[in-house]
Amino acid sequence: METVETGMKGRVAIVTGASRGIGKAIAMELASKGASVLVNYRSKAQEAEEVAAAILEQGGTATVCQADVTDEADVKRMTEHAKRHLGQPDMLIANAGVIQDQLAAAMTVDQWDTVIETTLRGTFLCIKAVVPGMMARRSGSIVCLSSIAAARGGRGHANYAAAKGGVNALTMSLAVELAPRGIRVNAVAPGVVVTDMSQRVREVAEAEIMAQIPLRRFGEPEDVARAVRFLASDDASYITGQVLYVTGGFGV
Amino acid sequence: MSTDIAQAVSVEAVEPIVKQVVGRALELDPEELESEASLQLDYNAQSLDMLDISFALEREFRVPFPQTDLIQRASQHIEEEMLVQRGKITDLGLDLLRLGMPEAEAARIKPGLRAEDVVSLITVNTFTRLVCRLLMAKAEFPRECPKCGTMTKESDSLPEFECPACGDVRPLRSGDDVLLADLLVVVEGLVKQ
Repeated sequence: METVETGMKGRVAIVTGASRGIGKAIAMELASKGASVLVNYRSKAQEAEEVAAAILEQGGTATVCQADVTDEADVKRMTEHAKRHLGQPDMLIANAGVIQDQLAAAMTVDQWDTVIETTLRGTFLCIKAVVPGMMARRSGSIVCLSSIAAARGGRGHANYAAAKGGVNALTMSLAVELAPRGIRVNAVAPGVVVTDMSQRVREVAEAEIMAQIPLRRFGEPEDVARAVRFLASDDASYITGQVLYVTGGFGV
Repeated sequence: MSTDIAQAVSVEAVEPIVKQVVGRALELDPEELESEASLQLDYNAQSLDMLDISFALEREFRVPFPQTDLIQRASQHIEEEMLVQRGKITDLGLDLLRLGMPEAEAARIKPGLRAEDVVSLITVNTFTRLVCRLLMAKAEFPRECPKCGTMTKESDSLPEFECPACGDVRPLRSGDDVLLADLLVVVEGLVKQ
């Protein structure tokens, strides 16, 4: 492993939606700093196994667990899996999310529900599952993945923006509720990041988007992962209830 | 302060630990806590504090705490309107509370008690009784692995038993199930009266 931060060594992290994209980069980043990582996936088993294998190859600790974050029983099972194989979760990175872009007038209820359920309900269920253990130990750090869309909206993003706006509100509410129990809750809001999920929007509107990014490049998953790692770690021990924008200055 | 299943299930053994947990949750000196005092009315415990205490006791004793209160459990078997009407606990509901929460101060279980105020009946003694009951249920849990017959081992972090031979994992009965079974006995007694 490269460097091991004392604050991460031996800590247990659950990263949802970690088989690819930003989730994968977060899992790798936390593991590279010494955390033991549960790599969660819903349907991409092989990719998730590859993430875990890469972590193990670098001398880290990882376990893979299939779970649908919209299903309470699945989420509970995932948390028990982490406890059994790695130990009590110290960190939750609620990353799993989906997009189903469509102009609101043409959006089906299914498209609306799918995005809200995975992104917002899924985040809530994951937090609900890890909080009892964290409360009992008076320690824990939760980082939710939000989006620049939560603050600015966007054409075709009504469902996604609403879900991520909900994630921000959830983050702030839980930060207040859980601070007396030693648990911090923050969010990282990426801008346009080079992943499969953003491929279409980058193809359709690259020049238009790039013109709004002062740093003149799309984000890389690792840019987001480092911000997540910071908020999850003790380096951010006096930070809670915040949304950290990792956007290259998008829209500033 | 991990508590072994072999430890005698007694109020004397459990109560000091409950007081430590409650004291930590409410930021009060455990030695100053009165066992009969209402945590909500006398110590200003909020609903999140009650959850906090439940989570800590679950972890401490490795027992699955109930997620519902007595009236909520009863409403799974009795029409809710027989227990609560216009937000107030009915006479039948009050009888259930007296029998199901024998440690609660009798003067507080009186006509006019609202469903949302049942939480005010909770004391250190309530948590002690619950822990003792759930530890008893754990002690009664069959230890032999149903798959291979080997004696299972209690997990050191979860409310479950694992077979060292075949790896079969069996979670304990949920706290709600244990207490619901107890409650049904009480209900039966009330119906016979």
